[in-house]
Amino acid sequence: MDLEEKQILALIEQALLKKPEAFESLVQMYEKKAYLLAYRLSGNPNDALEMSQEIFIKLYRNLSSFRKESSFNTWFYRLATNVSYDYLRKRQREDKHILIQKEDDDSDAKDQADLTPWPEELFERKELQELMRQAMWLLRPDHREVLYLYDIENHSYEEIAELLDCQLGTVKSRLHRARNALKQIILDRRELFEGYLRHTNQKGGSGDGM
Amino acid sequence: MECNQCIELLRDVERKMDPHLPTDLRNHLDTCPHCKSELLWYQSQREIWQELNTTEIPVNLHQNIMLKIRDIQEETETVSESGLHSFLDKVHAWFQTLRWKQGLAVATASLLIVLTVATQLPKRNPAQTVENLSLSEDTTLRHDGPQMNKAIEPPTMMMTAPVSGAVSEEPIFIELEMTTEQWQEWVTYFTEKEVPWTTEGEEDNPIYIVEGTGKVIVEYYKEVLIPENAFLLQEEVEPEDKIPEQSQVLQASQKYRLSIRLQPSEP
Repeated sequence: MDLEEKQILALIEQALLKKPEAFESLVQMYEKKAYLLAYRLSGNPNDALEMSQEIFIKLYRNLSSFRKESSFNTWFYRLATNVSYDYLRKRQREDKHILIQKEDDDSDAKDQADLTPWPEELFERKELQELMRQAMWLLRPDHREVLYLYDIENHSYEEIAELLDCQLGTVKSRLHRARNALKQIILDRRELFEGYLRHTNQKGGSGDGM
Repeated sequence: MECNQCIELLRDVERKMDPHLPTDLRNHLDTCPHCKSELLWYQSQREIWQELNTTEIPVNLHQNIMLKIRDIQEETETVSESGLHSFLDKVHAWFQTLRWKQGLAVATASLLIVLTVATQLPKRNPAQTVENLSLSEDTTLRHDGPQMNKAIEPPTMMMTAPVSGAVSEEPIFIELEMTTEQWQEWVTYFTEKEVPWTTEGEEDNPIYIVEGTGKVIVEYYKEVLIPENAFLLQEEVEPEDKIPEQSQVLQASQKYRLSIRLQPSEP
């Protein structure tokens, strides 16, 4: 157990003894993580703010159920994702455009690299970033999150399985599907995007003709 | 090198952000535009995620979270205090029925008894102390309805409802979300079968408070009171419209407020 974990456990003990400053210290340690997770899942700063509040309300009410069977980081991550998905489910009832449902069975997908070629000229444009940025937010939140955990946080499959509380095979297939989904969104939106670029280029007078 | 191999390797190299590509990988990339595009893809993706990680955190984030937490802390304190106040009110009323001298003598004796007993009593399991029972958000109240009246069984009476906050001696209010069909079953049960709206629990008429994991926290309450005006269609129906018309039901929002008063059985 590292120093940080020991410090966290000490704070939890104090918070359970109803010492408000201990709980506030936990909030300070985890609020940024909670907000960024909520923002990654929702893509909306207002929702992320509300989700962060709900995450800590849940933490406050459920802190005593932390059994130290996993690290606090893992436990908190699970709690935060569960709260976030609950929130998004509620929002989905109000706004059908929010996609949150998970696939029934992720395990069928083969974990193979997708060899569908990318249109080469796509990478010659500086606008690729913009296209990808849009596509990221069109991904389902669970796809976006698994890509983030693997590609950016550099977690192993095993670590992701623990964080997401699912099977190793599910992590692999979800990653595979997430990559394909991202690619597909970009390819599908390419024409729309080209139209947009033509329009903005004409307006801006750059006229590079894409 | 095969493209499949190359892409797996690329992911690995990119994850480690290693600027030195292995020679065989570099050779493949020089000759394979497809794999080269994959590399560019990963690089672009990483840049976007890094942007996201530097997303500005709202300045009021900490303050907003702590405001909510303090609200909950205060609520919890108020609920546990209200139990004490209710006890004190009863004691006060009882003293008023006695003459003050007698009262003083009894008060002194009672205080001594209370202090003695309080220090001798074993601590009860906090989960069974109804005056201050904190419930997690995934807790539900479950009532296996068909047992409510053995002679007349409604079609579907089992219900679960989320319970949050704390259960106290005060009535707790539960927001139920029902489908119109479920609602109609309830209305039918209480009207056509002439079952009284107020009912008392019996030993075979239990109400459970259940954690999300299925663990039963409290098994049985002595009295379950469903007041006559328990079912109201939000603000659309006046209190006197106890039993709404079918047409109102169909048009109604699917959220109903049910007030159930729970009292504990003896521990």
